[in-house]
Amino acid sequence: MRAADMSCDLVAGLMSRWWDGVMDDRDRDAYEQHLLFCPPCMVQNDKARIALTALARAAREPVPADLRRDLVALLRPMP
Amino acid sequence: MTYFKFLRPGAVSPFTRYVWPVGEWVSVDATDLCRSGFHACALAHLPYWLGEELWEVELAAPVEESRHKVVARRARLLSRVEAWTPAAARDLGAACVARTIGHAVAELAEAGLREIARRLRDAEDAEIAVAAAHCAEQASAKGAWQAVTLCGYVSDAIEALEAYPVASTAYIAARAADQRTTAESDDPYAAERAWQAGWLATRLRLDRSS
Repeated sequence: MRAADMSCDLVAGLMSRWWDGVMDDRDRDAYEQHLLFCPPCMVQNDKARIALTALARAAREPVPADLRRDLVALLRPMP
Repeated sequence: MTYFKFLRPGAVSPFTRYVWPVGEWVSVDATDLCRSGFHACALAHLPYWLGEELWEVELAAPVEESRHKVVARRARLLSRVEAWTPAAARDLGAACVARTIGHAVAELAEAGLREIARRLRDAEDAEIAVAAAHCAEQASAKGAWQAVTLCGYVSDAIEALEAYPVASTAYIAARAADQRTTAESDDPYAAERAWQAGWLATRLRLDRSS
């Protein structure tokens, strides 16, 4: 895909794939070039990058023991 | 060989917000170069990645080249290209507006609308947007749909010149080239980008061998 073929809607749908690094080289170029000439999409991409980075960091943190215990309790089948 | 890199103000990467240390080698240890390596531009790649700051960058071998960029595992930011200023960016934007007008004028003429084409070509700067809208109406009445599209790009380019980064105006000019009914190149979009690279090389006195 070329930047010329990438719409704002398409970019919005590809943000998590871009962040995950799973786009092929050509699509990634088109995606990033779109961001450069489309400031609104760049703003959205920046927000998504910050949110996804924070989520990934949180996912790597160990779950506190008391929270783990409470969650397991919640997941137990009701009597 | 000299490579280049467009960055945000403060030597910040446009997408990852990585802050480049000036003069220091930085490296990644990864096999997936595109995802994890350092991206830079040869001269021909520059118009695809326009940004606020332009830097010269040194890359350690091996350097992989792809369609619109080069990638390496080790890189060092050398020095800013001081000639790339907001004024230079504005001038490139204005040049891209002129190119877009040229594409629209040529498309109108090829559609047999020579008088309308002349009106657009001869319009004063302050009147171009109105002239483009007027030409689009007249082209529409004649069923010259591609010329209507090209006149629309002229309006877009003028708006982008005032409101958006130069990357927008440069992109619109390349899109306009790509929409011509008859093209002088197999890939008019790439040809327009090549013209922009030439503009940058001349204006910024960049090494054309890069």
